[in-house]
Amino acid sequence: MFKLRLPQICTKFTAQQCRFCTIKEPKELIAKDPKEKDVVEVQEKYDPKKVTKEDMQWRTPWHQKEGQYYSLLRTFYTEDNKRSLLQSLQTPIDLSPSSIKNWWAKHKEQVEILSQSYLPERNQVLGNELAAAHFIVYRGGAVKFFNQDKWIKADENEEYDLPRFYEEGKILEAIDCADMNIVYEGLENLRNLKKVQWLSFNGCERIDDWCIDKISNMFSHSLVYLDLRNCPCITDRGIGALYKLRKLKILYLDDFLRSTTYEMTCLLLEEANPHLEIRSDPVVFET
Amino acid sequence: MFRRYALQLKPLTKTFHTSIKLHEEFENPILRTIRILRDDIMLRNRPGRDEHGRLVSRVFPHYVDIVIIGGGAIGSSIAYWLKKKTNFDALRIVVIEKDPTYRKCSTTLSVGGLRQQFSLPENIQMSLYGAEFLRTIKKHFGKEAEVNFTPHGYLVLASEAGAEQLIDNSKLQNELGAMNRILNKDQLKERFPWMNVSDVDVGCLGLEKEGWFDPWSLLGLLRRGASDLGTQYVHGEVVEFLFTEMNDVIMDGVEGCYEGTNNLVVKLPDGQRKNIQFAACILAAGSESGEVAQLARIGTGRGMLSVPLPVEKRKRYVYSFQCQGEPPGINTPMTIDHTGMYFRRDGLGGGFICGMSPEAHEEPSCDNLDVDYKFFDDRIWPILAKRVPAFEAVKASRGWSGYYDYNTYDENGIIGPHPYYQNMYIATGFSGHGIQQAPAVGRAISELILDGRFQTIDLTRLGFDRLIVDKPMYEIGIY
Ligand SMILES: Cc1cc2nc3c(=O)[nH]c(=O)nc-3n(C[C@H](O)[C@H](O)[C@H](O)COP(=O)(O)OP(=O)(O)OC[C@H]3O[C@@H](n4cnc5c(N)ncnc54)[C@H](O)[C@@H]3O)c2cc1C
Repeated sequence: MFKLRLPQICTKFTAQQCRFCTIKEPKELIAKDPKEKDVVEVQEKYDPKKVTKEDMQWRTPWHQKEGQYYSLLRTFYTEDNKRSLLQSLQTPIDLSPSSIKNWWAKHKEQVEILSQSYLPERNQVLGNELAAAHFIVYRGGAVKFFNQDKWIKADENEEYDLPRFYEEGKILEAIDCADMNIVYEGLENLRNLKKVQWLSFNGCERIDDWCIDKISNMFSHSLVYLDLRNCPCITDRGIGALYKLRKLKILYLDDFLRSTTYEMTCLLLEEANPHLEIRSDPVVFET
Repeated sequence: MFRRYALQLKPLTKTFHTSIKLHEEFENPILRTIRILRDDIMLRNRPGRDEHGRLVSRVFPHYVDIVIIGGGAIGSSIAYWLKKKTNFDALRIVVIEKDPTYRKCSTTLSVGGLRQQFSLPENIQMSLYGAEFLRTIKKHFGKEAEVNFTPHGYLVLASEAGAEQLIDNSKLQNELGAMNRILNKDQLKERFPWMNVSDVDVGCLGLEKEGWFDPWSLLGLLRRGASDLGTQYVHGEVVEFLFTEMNDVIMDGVEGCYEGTNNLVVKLPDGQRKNIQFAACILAAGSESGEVAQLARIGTGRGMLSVPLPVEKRKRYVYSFQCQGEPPGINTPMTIDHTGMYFRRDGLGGGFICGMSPEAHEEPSCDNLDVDYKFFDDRIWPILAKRVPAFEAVKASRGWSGYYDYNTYDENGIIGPHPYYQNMYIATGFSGHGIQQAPAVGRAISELILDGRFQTIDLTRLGFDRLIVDKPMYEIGIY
């Protein structure tokens, strides 16, 4: 059943390229089990990385064959079938207040993400430390460098005093992002900082577990103080990931008694890192 | 996809010929009209909501644009993406799922790990997108959407033999945007004091976007998202494909007459059989894909159709155990031993889950989902106890098993069009890393169908064609 002739049309492929062309016993052709696989690998030194996309094409596409008129009409033909245009044309226009509100919120969010995204040029001109400082201060946060006593923060006119070009010896010590609207994409700007020890996200409502995942990696080598108060999106799963911050000594949380898993995570964190002290604001009971 | 045809002039009579035997009883056209009108008046043809609040159509879909076989994570994700990229009434999409409780499907029985530690660029990219999708899941499915991602990282250990490979892979992963770090023996010991590193050479620790999540929630969200956008789920099993000879189709590599299919038979839970006519069909039946493919003559026909879809069921056990004494603390990522055994924390009270793929010669039978606790005692426990001294006294307290949609050819997903059928797409065979790739696979298939080619991640190398040119894409990171 398996011995078939090479169809006349497929002149392109050679014996190694196509399984149909070699007349092997079906057993060999049907999938091998993993044990045999190893043997094959050793024999041929087969490396899947060397397989290219073109290897998978064992038939000449119809339009590339001799004598097809496709190439003549090429000028009038686009590869892109404009699906998104078609989709927007077909979507009924909805001008109800709620949909406009939704659209506006989405649009604002996109702009925010775009404006916070990482710009390689900024980091080339300024170096990582200064670029991060500009990024934070411009958006209403504050930073502090080593060997400098004062915090740098924008004034009422949104002006601030930071070097406009790379300067040697400027190394960030502390970053205060309190009440900033910082998003996950924006955190990329804080990567590769040398010695940040103090970091506060107090009141950043967009900081969630995924951000914590990123923060706990980016500052794992240096961070000593971390403030995560008033970040409603963080759960015990995110707090657990802070085990990666190995130098952390002080961690501020809202209220670590808010649930048993939360409290348990905090206890386990303290157990894994004996230097760590978790503090929280005193809970105010309404009377 | 039309490039494969050329029309030839045929006698007109030929076009009227259909050899399809319909499985339904013949209904008098007049009575049928009356029935439909009556249902229309009684608003029975309008979609309603089922007990879970999901939008459901009450009419059986006889004619659809795209039919998806299998409503697991992959099938639902494909439906979601196809709908997201078109609008509500643009495409009629139907997902056929034989078990809406999802009791036996691999999605709900999996461990839900998310990692980028693979050796094939495609797998790394798909998982990176999986992470991105999970992160932005609220944008897709609304504010309440939550998959409980635990960002605890993966730690893959290697003995001396595998060290070089691990380092190479890590390099590739970092180039593609994953974040992980190679740790040597001393660093491992320092970071994870609970571990015995005597026979470990290096370890690769995932630093971002790795961890585990709740596959049930993801499946639920994808399914609800797809239905909300207008996908119809049909409770039934695909039992047969019907074929038509198409003499006017000429295709490279096909000898004789091309026999296409655009009709399949669904067996409903009450035993009724109904036909569905489709323009395109997507095979995403998970571990049962091999059998469904055979219904479509993949693997039983001649020529290209003699190549089977090499996807089989393979039973994999997952055990949970409780560690008394001093269990590894919060600094325990999902750890994969160089023997292939993995374990991770489950909850905070010293509970863990673990598992391992058996050797080829000890594959358990796949007739049922019973758990063999002997496998834990004989094979897993010795490795566990050696790696983590605190696990010396543990016993498996509970366990479950699920079927890997195991690709016997190269243990990797098969994603793309079938070379013979011009209207059949395959997305299956993920062998244990399917859920994290479901978003990327759904997007890829929707691109193939709607845009005509891959737009974001190029998965050409993972297509069915690799079986034909015999170029396996081995993945080293399969556990
Ligand atoms: C123990 C275990 C651990 C795993 N761990 C991980 C992990 O950590 N990370 C990860 O990414 N992946 C993991 N996986 C793999 C992952 O679960 C699968 O790759 C993935 O779920 C495949 O999804 P699917 O939608 O293709 O298949 P399924 O979820 O199995 O869905 C297929 C559906 O098709 C239906 N179906 C079958 N035949 C028919 C038919 N003829 N007609 C109608 N419907 C039909 C079935 O009822 C089923 O619901 C694990 C799997 C197992 C078993």
